[in-house]
Amino acid sequence: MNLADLGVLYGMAGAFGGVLVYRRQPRRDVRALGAALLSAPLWPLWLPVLFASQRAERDVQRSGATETEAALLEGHEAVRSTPLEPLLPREAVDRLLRELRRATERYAELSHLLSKKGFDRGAAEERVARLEQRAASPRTLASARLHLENVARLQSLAARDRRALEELSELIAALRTQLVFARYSGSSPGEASDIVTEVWARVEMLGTSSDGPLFELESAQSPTEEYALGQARPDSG
Amino acid sequence: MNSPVFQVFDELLRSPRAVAERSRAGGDLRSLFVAALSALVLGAGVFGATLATSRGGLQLLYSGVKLPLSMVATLLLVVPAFHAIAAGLGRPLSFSGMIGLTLAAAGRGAVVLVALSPLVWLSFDRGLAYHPGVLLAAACYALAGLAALDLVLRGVGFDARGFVIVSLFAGVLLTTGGQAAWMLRPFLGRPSETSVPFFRQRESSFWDAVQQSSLSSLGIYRVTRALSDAGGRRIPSQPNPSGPRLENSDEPR
Repeated sequence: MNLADLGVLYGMAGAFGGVLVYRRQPRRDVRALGAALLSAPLWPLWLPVLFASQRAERDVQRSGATETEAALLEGHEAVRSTPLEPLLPREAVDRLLRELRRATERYAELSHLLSKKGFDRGAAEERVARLEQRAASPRTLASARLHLENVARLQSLAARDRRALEELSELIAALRTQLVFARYSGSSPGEASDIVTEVWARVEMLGTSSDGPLFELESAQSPTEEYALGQARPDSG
Repeated sequence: MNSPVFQVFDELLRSPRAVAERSRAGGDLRSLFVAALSALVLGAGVFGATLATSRGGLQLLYSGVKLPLSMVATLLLVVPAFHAIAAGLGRPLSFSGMIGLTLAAAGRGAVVLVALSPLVWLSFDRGLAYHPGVLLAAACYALAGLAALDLVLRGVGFDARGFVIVSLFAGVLLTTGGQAAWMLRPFLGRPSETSVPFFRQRESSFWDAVQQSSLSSLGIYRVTRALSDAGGRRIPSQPNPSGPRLENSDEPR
């Protein structure tokens, strides 16, 4: 094997790597194209960095949940075997942890789903506009609008879950410090009790579907068009 | 380029310690990769083109392309060796961290080359001949290499073990980088050549070329057609036209 053969093999591996990187990107935009183009000539250097960076991003998402769990456990440790223990007993901690993990997994699944090409809101909006421009049949247009509506609902759901998880995370961190403070200062657990109540309320809210409108579509659509597919709206019960 | 890339570029210029720590920490190194690669391509490109000012013309473009190419090719070959050396001597870094560190070091070295470009350009402009020019370029590479190895040393740890790791890596880098650059020459372009080739025909090796250039700069030229048994000898100032053809005998002294 001479240098030219080696070059051909290297180039083939680079082209394969480039395609792989482009297909694995959550969004097919300029960044994705740049990552793919870097992969072609520099795959032995770029691919390990790219994959490690993507792994690090996922770890950061996961560690957020882990930190909240640690805060919850520390809060329980602070009141264990003290008169304050009924505020945050072990059973309650276990249930909170279960709910927290379930909500985190649900959010991760939603985020992953929304990063796929078929769930791109911009593309769905473009498609509706294109169909409107070329005066597509009402049935086709209704299907495209329903798809757009569903994508928008999923996006709103993911955004709401993220906010709820962030708020819950901050609340649990505050609960931990409040319990530690109450234990060492001997002060009234009143505020800690309020926070515990608030935490439970937030946990109950996590994962429940929204009743109100999560978004508003810019273009008006008639009920006839909406139900033209003969299928119920996702929020119709 | 976005702001994280510019931030890393700034660190590359002003805070090698921060770059080393960033590489050691691992995580998301994409901005470091892009910033270091940009510095490498631009810096080495500018220096390559500066080297070619001795010849001018198409050589400016060729050298501006080939010098970054030789540095990137060197990196492709030496990073796994560096990873193995560091891991074998008890300083394992993640492979991506090792790539980030090595690329950042190369980028910093390229920035040093840019800083030396005016000096090189001035020297050629003042009539510096081919062989002293090659040695000047080699000296610039050495300075840039030291700046790069300094960053690598900060990355693997500034102690005895770190010195051993970096020394071994420097050995690998010197031989691999030298050979890669030698295969992609000419960067200056011999004055005796009438045309400007993108690649010169393969002759002997990098170390032979270093030895030959050193002797030539002292006025000692080897006989081209019998390199194997020529020990190098001093030639008279007016070579015998009927004698054997001496390499570079028609160059300006």
